[in-house]
Amino acid sequence: MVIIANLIQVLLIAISISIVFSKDNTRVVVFLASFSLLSACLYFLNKAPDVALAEVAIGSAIMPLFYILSISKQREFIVMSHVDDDYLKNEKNQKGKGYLLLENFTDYYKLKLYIFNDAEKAELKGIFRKSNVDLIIEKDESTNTYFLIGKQSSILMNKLAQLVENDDKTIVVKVKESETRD
Amino acid sequence: MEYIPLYLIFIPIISSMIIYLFNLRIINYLIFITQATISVLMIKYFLFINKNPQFASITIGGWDKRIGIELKNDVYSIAFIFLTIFIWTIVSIYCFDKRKNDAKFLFFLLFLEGAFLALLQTNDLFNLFVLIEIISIISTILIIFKKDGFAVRAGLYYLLFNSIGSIFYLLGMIIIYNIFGTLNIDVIKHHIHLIDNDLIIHAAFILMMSAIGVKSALFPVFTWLPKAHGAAPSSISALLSGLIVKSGLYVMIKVDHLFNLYTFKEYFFILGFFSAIIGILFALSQKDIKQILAYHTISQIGIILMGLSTINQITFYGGLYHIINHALFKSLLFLGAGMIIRTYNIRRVTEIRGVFKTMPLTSIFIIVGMLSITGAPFFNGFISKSLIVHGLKEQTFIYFLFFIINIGTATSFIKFSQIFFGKSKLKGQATINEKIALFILSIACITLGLHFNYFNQYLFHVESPVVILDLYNIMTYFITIIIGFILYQTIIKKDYLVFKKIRHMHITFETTNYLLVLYIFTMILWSFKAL
Amino acid sequence: MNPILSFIIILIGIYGICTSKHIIKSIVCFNLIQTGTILLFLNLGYSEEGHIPIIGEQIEKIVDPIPQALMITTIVIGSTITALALILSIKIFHYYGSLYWKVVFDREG
Repeated sequence: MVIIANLIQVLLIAISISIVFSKDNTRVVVFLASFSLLSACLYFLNKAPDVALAEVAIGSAIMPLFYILSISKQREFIVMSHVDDDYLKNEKNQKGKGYLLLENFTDYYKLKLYIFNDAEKAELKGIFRKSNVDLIIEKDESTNTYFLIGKQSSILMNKLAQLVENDDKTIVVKVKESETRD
Repeated sequence: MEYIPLYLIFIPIISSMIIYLFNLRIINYLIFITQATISVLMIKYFLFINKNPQFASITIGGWDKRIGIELKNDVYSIAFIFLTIFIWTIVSIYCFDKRKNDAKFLFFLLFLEGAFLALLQTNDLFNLFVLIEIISIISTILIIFKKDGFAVRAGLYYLLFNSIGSIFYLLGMIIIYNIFGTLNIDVIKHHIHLIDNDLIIHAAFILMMSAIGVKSALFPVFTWLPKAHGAAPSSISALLSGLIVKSGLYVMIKVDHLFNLYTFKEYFFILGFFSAIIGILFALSQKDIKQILAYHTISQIGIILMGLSTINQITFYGGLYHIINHALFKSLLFLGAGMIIRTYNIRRVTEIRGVFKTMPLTSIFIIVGMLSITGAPFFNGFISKSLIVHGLKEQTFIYFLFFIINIGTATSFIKFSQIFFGKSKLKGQATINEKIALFILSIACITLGLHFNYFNQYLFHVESPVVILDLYNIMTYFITIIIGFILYQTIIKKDYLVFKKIRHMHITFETTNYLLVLYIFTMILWSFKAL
Repeated sequence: MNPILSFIIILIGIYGICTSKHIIKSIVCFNLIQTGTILLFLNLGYSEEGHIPIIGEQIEKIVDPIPQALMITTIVIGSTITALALILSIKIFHYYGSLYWKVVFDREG
């Protein structure tokens, strides 16, 4: 019995070294789940079955779920559009000009693109704080230019500004949220 | 009547749940009823304890002391409980105007009060650990309440770093449990002189002290404090800087009384001195109002640590008294700074001008706070700083270093006071609630400055035989102000490159953990020197 | 069994958190340190001839049940802190665009 426990502990040390030195985030989550399961076995061999129950339920089932949910939410790019013409059309033959631009942009950073169409213009002040929107697309009717409004603090906006440099029909606007409210 | 400690803990928690469940505007007035109830109960309990002191400790559930959780009230905890209830009342008066309809904010505020009152009374080591973690989690939620970029990243830094510190406390507690078999502080204190093996006791002490160092922002591990206190809403900043950082010092007093080691007192004295100097140096180079006040918190905690870690009785009481005074005037300054920021919409000290003409009443209260923190006579800062210095008078080198710290504080606040002069076109927007809150705090500052003998006898049961208000100390104060003014005009007004570099210095998360490991390592080396 | 091997897991966790540049890896290393501490505590409370502390078995000689009760509380506290830190990291990503500590704190917005 003691030999099995010592072997499991050495295996735990090996898994922890590979967690610290790995570079991919999905691998780290899988290793963490197996680490938790093996440590639950070890708690049982140390004559503490109630701790083993708690560790299996929390560390092996719920914690990897939290990690995978949050990692998948960190790969999204949420766009809310206030225009209703075919700038963002996603049909099979022809895609709108804006859609091609955004697709090029998100492929570079390996993000997933979500577009919401909100025809009525909701209140824009403070919307970056209330919800997780990354980009807002508006259209100026008189001059026929498209405004892409994003946050100044995000470093992804720099790449987007670089992509629309040659096109003078689209302008990238960076909004700075002031921090002085109490 | 003897179960009042339990009522003190559970009344805020239950009323916070009622406020959250109902979500109506009328029920939000329950916060004031709660505060009034708690203060009445506390006064009754205090008079009851003075007559029969054998009811001062109760165990939950009626179990034996060695296996149950005990709640004990001694001299220190009663003083802290009064301070806690007072400051919480003032903060709730201040922020009630804006948060009348916000049930979530009031829920977290009252819950934090219940958890904090439980931390001050418990006598059990593992209960202390659980309550420290609960306070960390709820303060993080209150810090990120504004939900903008600064607050969220400061909150994450605060949460992760404090949790790592608390795990070291858990390691120290494991060692103590394996030697003694019980977790009650009184029982361990009674038997600790029977242990022969000094090495293990020193190891447990070092691990616990590293956690306390993280919690109360001592020298190498203070970098979370300016970010968190600068990004929080103003009322929460006042609460954090006034009380929750002091909870680390309260736990340190308890652990010090538990272990009774003489080898580390000089180490913490030197550490307190470095905290004070580094706090002043960083505060002189900042331009944001809240960051200046946050760095001053670090330096005042250094002064408190210098007072608490000596063997002289008078200096120890000076340190304790400075905890209470610092809570009062730092909350006053933070609440006043919040009102200034709301009127002017900018946060830099060099651009705000003309506060005295736009908000005359508020600026009088802020001037009271500034005079208290620099140590003017007739205000409460003078009393506690003179008590600390009185025990150190024999060693002239340390007295001279203390003088330098006072000069630094004075210089920084002369720079801060430039906001009062000049003209401005804005109209002051201060409501009645906030003015009442600041008024009560300044009255408390002045009262504690004039009648400190009365408080010493009544609360701490100590006679203070020293005469403090003599000509020598008053002359010292005026010389400090004059030298500070000269320093400000010559050096600080021109923004040299050194100060720019210090202002933009930033220590990342990995380096802070590295500093924590270094801190533990220096304590281990110091203990080798003494063993 | 062997408390020294549990102590090595704690040291690996501390090394990991001192050299991690990504936010998610810091949170994972915090979980590592926590699990190492719990293993250490249970290893110190183990004895060969004791029985599992459940009512119904032989009650004369049991392993100490207090560490087990304390450690269940610690596991729950650790999971709460991890959950809160992950929510904050999602918000940081939508604000700043990347999740490296240096990039997040160098931005001015």
